Amino acid sequence: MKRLLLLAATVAAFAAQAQSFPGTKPVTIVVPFAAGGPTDRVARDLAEAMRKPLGGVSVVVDNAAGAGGSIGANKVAKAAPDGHTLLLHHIGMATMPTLVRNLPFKVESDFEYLGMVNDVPMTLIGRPNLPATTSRNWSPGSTRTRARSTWAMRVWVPPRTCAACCSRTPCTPR
Amino acid sequence: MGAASHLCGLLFQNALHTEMTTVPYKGTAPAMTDLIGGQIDLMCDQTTNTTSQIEGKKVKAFAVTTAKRLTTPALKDLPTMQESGLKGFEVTIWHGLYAPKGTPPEVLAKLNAALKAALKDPEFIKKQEGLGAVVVTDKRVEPAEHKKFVAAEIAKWSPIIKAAGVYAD
Repeated sequence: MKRLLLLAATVAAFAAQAQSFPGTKPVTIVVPFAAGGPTDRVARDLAEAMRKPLGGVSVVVDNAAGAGGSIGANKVAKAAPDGHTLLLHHIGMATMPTLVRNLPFKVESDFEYLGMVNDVPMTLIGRPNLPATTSRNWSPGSTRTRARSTWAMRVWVPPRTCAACCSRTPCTPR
Repeated sequence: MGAASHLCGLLFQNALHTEMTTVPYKGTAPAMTDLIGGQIDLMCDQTTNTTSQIEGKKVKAFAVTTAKRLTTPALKDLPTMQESGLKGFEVTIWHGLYAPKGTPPEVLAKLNAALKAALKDPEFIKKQEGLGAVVVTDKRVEPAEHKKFVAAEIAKWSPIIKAAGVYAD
Protein backbone atom coordinates (compact mmCIF):
# COMPACT_ATOMS: atom_id res chain seq x y z
CA MET A 1 0.00 0.00 0.00
CA LYS A 2 2.80 2.30 0.99
CA ARG A 3 4.53 1.54 -2.29
CA LEU A 4 1.32 2.14 -4.23
CA LEU A 5 0.89 5.51 -2.55
CA LEU A 6 4.45 6.44 -3.36
CA LEU A 7 3.89 5.43 -6.97
CA ALA A 8 0.70 7.46 -7.13
CA ALA A 9 2.52 10.46 -5.67
CA THR A 10 5.35 10.08 -8.19
CA VAL A 11 2.91 9.86 -11.10
CA ALA A 12 1.01 12.88 -9.82
CA ALA A 13 4.21 14.87 -9.42
CA PHE A 14 5.31 13.87 -12.92
CA ALA A 15 1.93 14.82 -14.38
CA ALA A 16 2.03 18.15 -12.55
CA GLN A 17 5.51 18.79 -13.91
CA ALA A 18 4.31 18.00 -17.42
CA GLN A 19 1.31 20.28 -16.91
CA SER A 20 3.46 23.19 -15.88
CA PHE A 21 6.14 22.68 -18.54
CA PRO A 22 8.34 24.57 -19.17
CA GLY A 23 8.04 26.37 -15.82
CA THR A 24 11.07 28.51 -15.08
CA LYS A 25 13.77 25.97 -15.93
CA PRO A 26 15.54 26.86 -19.21
CA VAL A 27 15.10 24.77 -22.33
CA THR A 28 18.41 23.77 -23.93
CA ILE A 29 18.73 23.13 -27.65
CA VAL A 30 21.78 20.96 -28.31
CA VAL A 31 23.50 21.66 -31.63
CA PRO A 32 25.84 18.84 -32.62
CA PHE A 33 28.14 21.26 -34.48
CA ALA A 34 30.42 24.17 -33.61
CA ALA A 35 29.16 27.61 -32.67
CA GLY A 36 28.98 30.05 -35.57
CA GLY A 37 28.27 27.40 -38.21
CA PRO A 38 25.11 27.30 -40.33
CA THR A 39 23.24 24.83 -38.06
CA ASP A 40 24.19 26.87 -35.00
CA ARG A 41 22.67 29.94 -36.64
CA VAL A 42 19.42 28.13 -37.33
CA ALA A 43 19.33 26.96 -33.69
CA ARG A 44 19.96 30.42 -32.28
CA ASP A 45 17.24 31.98 -34.42
CA LEU A 46 14.87 29.17 -33.47
CA ALA A 47 15.69 29.49 -29.76
CA GLU A 48 14.76 33.14 -29.90
CA ALA A 49 11.55 32.49 -31.80
CA MET A 50 10.44 29.69 -29.44
CA ARG A 51 10.96 31.67 -26.26
CA LYS A 52 7.69 33.61 -26.48
CA PRO A 53 5.44 30.66 -27.36
CA LEU A 54 7.05 28.77 -24.46
CA GLY A 55 5.84 31.40 -22.04
CA GLY A 56 8.99 33.49 -22.00
CA VAL A 57 11.28 30.80 -20.56
CA SER A 58 14.91 31.16 -21.61
CA VAL A 59 15.91 28.90 -24.50
CA VAL A 60 19.66 28.37 -24.72
CA VAL A 61 21.92 26.71 -27.29
CA ASP A 62 24.52 24.12 -26.28
CA ASN A 63 27.14 23.24 -28.91
CA ALA A 64 28.31 19.63 -28.62
CA ALA A 65 30.29 19.04 -31.81
CA GLY A 66 32.12 15.94 -33.04
CA ALA A 67 31.91 12.59 -34.80
CA GLY A 68 29.66 13.77 -37.62
CA GLY A 69 27.08 15.20 -35.23
CA SER A 70 26.70 11.96 -33.30
CA ILE A 71 28.17 13.26 -30.01
CA GLY A 72 25.52 15.94 -29.58
CA ALA A 73 22.76 13.58 -30.72
CA ASN A 74 23.92 10.97 -28.19
CA LYS A 75 23.85 13.57 -25.45
CA VAL A 76 20.17 14.25 -26.15
CA ALA A 77 19.29 10.57 -26.60
CA LYS A 78 20.59 9.97 -23.06
CA ALA A 79 19.18 13.18 -21.50
CA ALA A 80 16.23 13.29 -19.08
CA PRO A 81 13.03 13.11 -21.17
CA ASP A 82 11.47 16.19 -19.58
CA GLY A 83 11.40 18.54 -22.57
CA HIS A 84 14.27 20.64 -21.24
CA THR A 85 16.90 19.10 -23.52
CA LEU A 86 16.22 19.16 -27.25
CA LEU A 87 18.28 18.41 -30.34
CA LEU A 88 18.49 20.42 -33.53
CA HIS A 89 20.10 18.33 -36.24
CA HIS A 90 20.31 18.53 -40.03
CA ILE A 91 20.32 15.92 -42.81
CA GLY A 92 23.08 14.23 -40.80
CA MET A 93 20.31 12.73 -38.66
CA ALA A 94 19.49 10.51 -41.65
CA THR A 95 23.05 9.84 -42.81
CA MET A 96 24.57 9.13 -39.37
CA PRO A 97 23.16 5.59 -39.16
CA THR A 98 25.19 4.70 -42.29
CA LEU A 99 28.15 7.08 -42.00
CA VAL A 100 28.94 6.31 -38.38
CA ARG A 101 29.29 2.63 -37.63
CA ASN A 102 28.55 1.55 -34.04
CA LEU A 103 26.36 4.55 -33.37
CA PRO A 104 25.62 4.49 -29.60
CA PHE A 105 21.90 5.23 -30.13
CA LYS A 106 19.13 4.56 -32.61
CA VAL A 107 17.93 7.46 -34.75
CA GLU A 108 14.52 5.93 -35.31
CA SER A 109 13.70 4.75 -31.79
CA ASP A 110 15.67 6.86 -29.28
CA PHE A 111 14.05 10.18 -30.12
CA GLU A 112 10.68 11.87 -30.15
CA TYR A 113 10.28 13.76 -33.43
CA LEU A 114 9.04 17.31 -32.88
CA GLY A 115 8.80 18.57 -36.45
CA MET A 116 10.99 20.01 -39.17
CA VAL A 117 12.32 23.53 -39.28
CA ASN A 118 13.70 24.39 -42.71
CA ASP A 119 15.29 23.29 -45.96
CA VAL A 120 18.51 24.84 -47.22
CA PRO A 121 18.65 24.32 -50.99
CA MET A 122 21.86 23.41 -52.80
CA THR A 123 23.17 24.39 -56.20
CA LEU A 124 25.28 22.53 -58.72
CA ILE A 125 28.00 24.87 -59.91
CA GLY A 126 31.05 24.53 -62.11
CA ARG A 127 34.30 26.35 -62.76
CA PRO A 128 33.77 29.46 -64.88
CA ASN A 129 35.30 27.95 -68.04
CA LEU A 130 33.68 24.53 -67.81
CA PRO A 131 32.70 23.56 -71.39
CA ALA A 132 29.24 22.24 -70.46
CA THR A 133 27.17 25.33 -70.87
CA THR A 134 23.79 24.65 -69.40
CA SER A 135 22.21 21.81 -67.58
CA ARG A 136 20.57 20.95 -70.90
CA ASN A 137 23.91 19.50 -71.90
CA TRP A 138 23.04 16.48 -69.88
CA SER A 139 19.33 16.71 -70.20
CA PRO A 140 16.28 15.96 -71.99
CA GLY A 141 15.72 13.17 -74.37
CA SER A 142 18.61 10.76 -74.39
CA THR A 143 19.50 11.60 -70.81
CA ARG A 144 21.62 8.69 -69.71
CA THR A 145 24.05 8.23 -72.58
CA ARG A 146 24.26 11.87 -73.26
CA ALA A 147 24.83 12.65 -69.65
CA ARG A 148 27.63 10.15 -69.54
CA SER A 149 29.33 11.57 -72.60
CA THR A 150 28.88 15.19 -71.62
CA TRP A 151 30.18 14.88 -68.13
CA ALA A 152 32.47 11.91 -68.14
CA MET A 153 34.24 13.00 -71.27
CA ARG A 154 34.17 16.70 -71.20
CA VAL A 155 34.98 16.95 -67.60
CA TRP A 156 36.92 13.99 -66.52
CA VAL A 157 38.73 12.41 -69.46
CA PRO A 158 41.97 14.09 -70.57
CA PRO A 159 41.56 16.17 -73.76
CA ARG A 160 43.50 13.74 -75.94
CA THR A 161 41.12 10.87 -75.17
CA CYS A 162 38.21 13.20 -75.40
CA ALA A 163 38.96 14.17 -78.99
CA ALA A 164 38.58 10.54 -80.00
CA CYS A 165 35.30 10.21 -78.14
CA CYS A 166 33.93 13.33 -79.64
CA SER A 167 33.71 12.00 -83.15
CA ARG A 168 30.76 9.89 -82.05
CA THR A 169 29.16 11.86 -79.25
CA PRO A 170 27.68 15.29 -78.83
CA CYS A 171 30.84 16.31 -77.02
CA THR A 172 32.82 19.44 -77.73
CA PRO A 173 36.57 19.07 -77.21
CA ARG A 174 38.20 21.54 -74.87
CA MET B 1 33.66 13.26 -46.14
CA GLY B 2 29.99 12.64 -45.59
CA ALA B 3 29.18 16.35 -45.53
CA ALA B 4 26.22 17.63 -47.50
CA SER B 5 28.37 18.72 -50.48
CA HIS B 6 29.88 15.28 -50.65
CA LEU B 7 26.48 13.58 -50.40
CA CYS B 8 25.11 15.78 -53.16
CA GLY B 9 28.09 14.86 -55.34
CA LEU B 10 27.57 11.16 -54.64
CA LEU B 11 23.89 11.40 -55.54
CA PHE B 12 24.82 13.26 -58.74
CA GLN B 13 27.28 10.56 -59.84
CA ASN B 14 24.73 7.93 -58.90
CA ALA B 15 22.03 9.63 -60.99
CA LEU B 16 24.34 9.93 -63.99
CA HIS B 17 25.73 6.43 -63.62
CA THR B 18 29.17 7.89 -63.92
CA GLU B 19 32.22 8.17 -61.75
CA MET B 20 33.99 11.40 -60.95
CA THR B 21 37.03 12.10 -58.86
CA THR B 22 36.10 13.30 -55.41
CA VAL B 23 38.45 15.96 -54.08
CA PRO B 24 38.02 16.30 -50.30
CA TYR B 25 38.40 19.75 -48.77
CA LYS B 26 38.38 20.89 -45.17
CA GLY B 27 35.39 23.04 -45.97
CA THR B 28 33.53 24.44 -48.92
CA ALA B 29 35.29 27.83 -48.66
CA PRO B 30 38.69 26.56 -49.95
CA ALA B 31 36.84 24.37 -52.46
CA MET B 32 35.05 27.46 -53.79
CA THR B 33 38.39 29.25 -54.22
CA ASP B 34 39.72 26.33 -56.27
CA LEU B 35 36.52 26.09 -58.30
CA ILE B 36 36.76 29.77 -59.23
CA GLY B 37 40.44 29.24 -60.02
CA GLY B 38 39.59 26.30 -62.29
CA GLN B 39 41.48 23.64 -60.30
CA ILE B 40 38.31 21.61 -59.85
CA ASP B 41 35.38 21.20 -62.21
CA LEU B 42 32.20 20.88 -60.23
CA MET B 43 30.83 21.47 -56.81
CA CYS B 44 27.54 21.14 -55.04
CA ASP B 45 27.01 23.51 -52.16
CA GLN B 46 24.28 25.23 -50.22
CA THR B 47 22.82 28.47 -51.53
CA THR B 48 24.09 30.27 -48.44
CA ASN B 49 27.61 29.91 -49.85
CA THR B 50 26.98 29.99 -53.59
CA THR B 51 24.41 32.73 -54.26
CA SER B 52 26.84 35.66 -54.24
CA GLN B 53 29.34 33.78 -56.45
CA ILE B 54 26.56 32.91 -58.90
CA GLU B 55 25.34 36.49 -58.85
CA GLY B 56 28.86 37.77 -59.52
CA LYS B 57 29.25 35.22 -62.35
CA LYS B 58 32.39 33.88 -60.72
CA VAL B 59 31.12 30.34 -61.27
CA LYS B 60 28.88 28.64 -63.77
CA ALA B 61 25.55 27.69 -62.23
CA PHE B 62 23.72 24.65 -63.59
CA ALA B 63 20.80 23.82 -61.37
CA VAL B 64 19.16 23.96 -57.98
CA THR B 65 18.58 20.73 -56.07
CA THR B 66 15.08 21.48 -54.80
CA ALA B 67 11.84 20.06 -56.21
CA LYS B 68 10.73 23.56 -57.27
CA ARG B 69 12.66 26.54 -58.58
CA LEU B 70 13.71 29.07 -55.97
CA THR B 71 12.32 32.57 -55.69
CA THR B 72 15.63 34.26 -54.78
CA PRO B 73 16.22 36.82 -57.59
CA ALA B 74 19.74 35.60 -58.35
CA LEU B 75 18.62 31.97 -58.56
CA LYS B 76 15.10 32.11 -59.97
CA ASP B 77 16.21 31.36 -63.54
CA LEU B 78 18.11 28.22 -62.55
CA PRO B 79 16.30 25.02 -63.52
CA THR B 80 15.82 22.24 -61.00
CA MET B 81 17.84 19.04 -61.39
CA GLN B 82 14.56 17.30 -62.24
CA GLU B 83 13.85 19.76 -65.06
CA SER B 84 17.39 19.04 -66.22
CA GLY B 85 16.54 15.41 -66.72
CA LEU B 86 17.56 13.84 -63.44
CA LYS B 87 14.28 12.45 -62.20
CA GLY B 88 13.79 12.52 -58.45
CA PHE B 89 17.07 14.34 -57.80
CA GLU B 90 16.44 16.29 -54.65
CA VAL B 91 18.89 17.26 -51.92
CA THR B 92 18.39 19.89 -49.27
CA ILE B 93 20.12 20.41 -45.96
CA TRP B 94 17.00 20.09 -43.85
CA HIS B 95 16.85 20.71 -40.11
CA GLY B 96 14.58 19.07 -37.57
CA LEU B 97 13.92 19.25 -33.84
CA TYR B 98 14.01 16.23 -31.51
CA ALA B 99 13.50 15.33 -27.85
CA PRO B 100 14.68 12.27 -25.92
CA LYS B 101 12.46 9.18 -26.18
CA GLY B 102 9.92 9.04 -23.38
CA THR B 103 9.22 12.77 -23.11
CA PRO B 104 5.59 13.08 -21.86
CA PRO B 105 3.00 13.67 -24.62
CA GLU B 106 1.76 16.93 -23.03
CA VAL B 107 5.31 18.30 -23.10
CA LEU B 108 5.79 17.20 -26.69
CA ALA B 109 2.51 18.88 -27.65
CA LYS B 110 3.66 22.15 -26.07
CA LEU B 111 7.04 21.97 -27.80
CA ASN B 112 5.45 21.22 -31.16
CA ALA B 113 3.04 24.15 -30.71
CA ALA B 114 5.99 26.41 -29.85
CA LEU B 115 7.88 25.20 -32.92
CA LYS B 116 4.87 25.87 -35.16
CA ALA B 117 4.52 29.36 -33.69
CA ALA B 118 8.24 30.01 -34.29
CA LEU B 119 7.96 28.91 -37.92
CA LYS B 120 5.23 31.51 -38.45
CA ASP B 121 7.17 34.29 -36.73
CA PRO B 122 7.89 36.92 -39.45
CA GLU B 123 11.19 37.82 -37.80
CA PHE B 124 12.33 34.18 -37.85
CA ILE B 125 11.21 33.72 -41.47
CA LYS B 126 13.14 36.84 -42.49
CA LYS B 127 16.31 35.65 -40.77
CA GLN B 128 16.02 32.21 -42.36
CA GLU B 129 15.53 33.71 -45.80
CA GLY B 130 18.66 35.74 -45.16
CA LEU B 131 20.52 32.45 -44.64
CA GLY B 132 19.11 31.10 -47.90
CA ALA B 133 16.87 28.69 -46.02
CA VAL B 134 13.21 27.97 -46.73
CA VAL B 135 11.09 27.61 -43.58
CA VAL B 136 8.97 24.46 -43.57
CA THR B 137 5.29 25.18 -44.18
CA ASP B 138 4.16 21.69 -45.21
CA LYS B 139 2.98 18.77 -43.12
CA ARG B 140 6.54 17.89 -42.03
CA VAL B 141 5.98 20.23 -39.06
CA GLU B 142 3.87 17.37 -37.69
CA PRO B 143 5.90 14.86 -35.64
CA ALA B 144 4.61 11.78 -37.51
CA GLU B 145 5.40 13.30 -40.92
CA HIS B 146 8.81 14.43 -39.69
CA LYS B 147 9.60 10.88 -38.63
CA LYS B 148 8.35 9.49 -41.93
CA PHE B 149 10.51 11.95 -43.84
CA VAL B 150 13.66 11.06 -41.88
CA ALA B 151 12.99 7.34 -42.42
CA ALA B 152 12.69 7.99 -46.17
CA GLU B 153 15.94 9.96 -46.13
CA ILE B 154 17.73 7.12 -44.32
CA ALA B 155 16.48 4.70 -46.97
CA LYS B 156 17.57 7.08 -49.73
CA TRP B 157 21.12 7.76 -48.53
CA SER B 158 22.08 4.44 -47.02
CA PRO B 159 22.74 2.57 -50.30
CA ILE B 160 24.52 5.58 -51.81
CA ILE B 161 26.88 5.96 -48.85
CA LYS B 162 27.48 2.21 -48.66
CA ALA B 163 28.22 1.99 -52.37
CA ALA B 164 30.72 4.82 -52.07
CA GLY B 165 32.26 3.20 -48.99
CA VAL B 166 32.59 6.46 -47.08
CA TYR B 167 32.42 6.57 -43.31
CA ALA B 168 32.78 9.38 -40.83
CA ASP B 169 33.90 7.29 -37.85
